[in-house]
Amino acid sequence: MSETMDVRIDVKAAKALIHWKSLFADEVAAGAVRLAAQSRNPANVTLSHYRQAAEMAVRSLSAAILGDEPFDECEEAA
Amino acid sequence: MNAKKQPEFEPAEPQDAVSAPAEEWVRLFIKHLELNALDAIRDLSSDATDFELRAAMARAILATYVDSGMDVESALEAFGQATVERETPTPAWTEALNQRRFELIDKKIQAELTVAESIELARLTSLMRNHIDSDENLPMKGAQALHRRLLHSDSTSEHG
Repeated sequence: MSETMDVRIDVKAAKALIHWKSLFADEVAAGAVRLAAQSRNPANVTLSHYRQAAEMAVRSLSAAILGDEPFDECEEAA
Repeated sequence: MNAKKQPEFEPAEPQDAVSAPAEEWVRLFIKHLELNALDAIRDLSSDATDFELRAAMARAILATYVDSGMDVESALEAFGQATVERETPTPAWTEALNQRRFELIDKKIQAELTVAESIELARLTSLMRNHIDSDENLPMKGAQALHRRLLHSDSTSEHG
């Protein structure tokens, strides 16, 4: 799939990526449901809701990535 | 210009949608799968083969099923069921398959069943269940006779 190089990735780093992806996805999904709830058809969450929620989630994701909280503690708390 | 009255707003039924709780469950499952996959590939070298990577993923998938509250046997059964769903057309249930199922059950009782045989047994059990639940095995004759009797009694009570 990619160039074969003997590069090793810290498990902690790979776990952090999994956590960030999950955090982003959870934020988008929850935000989209909230946006849909304010729309004319609350039972239908659309791509538009997901786009808007994703824009907001990107900002909170940045904060989470830059935050001082060590990943392992976030993971344990989850 | 004739202004036609617009129809009342009716929310359209989503044509291609998934349930929100199911999507949330899948997201959590995938997160666990990724974490288990990471554990499964920890000891692999950079020149790991596709076979080794697939084997690691199989361990991760099984571990994720267990994380989700499923026992190993039920997970294997789910794989057997999925195998049946991929088979088109679904193989007919035969005496030979029934016999093979009994052989595998015997091996299971004697604790001699391999993992591959566990999946085979789950597949056969799934095929057997599909066969039992199929229309041809429903007691349709009795149901039809009852239906006829009810229709008859209904028409006689109307005329009587």
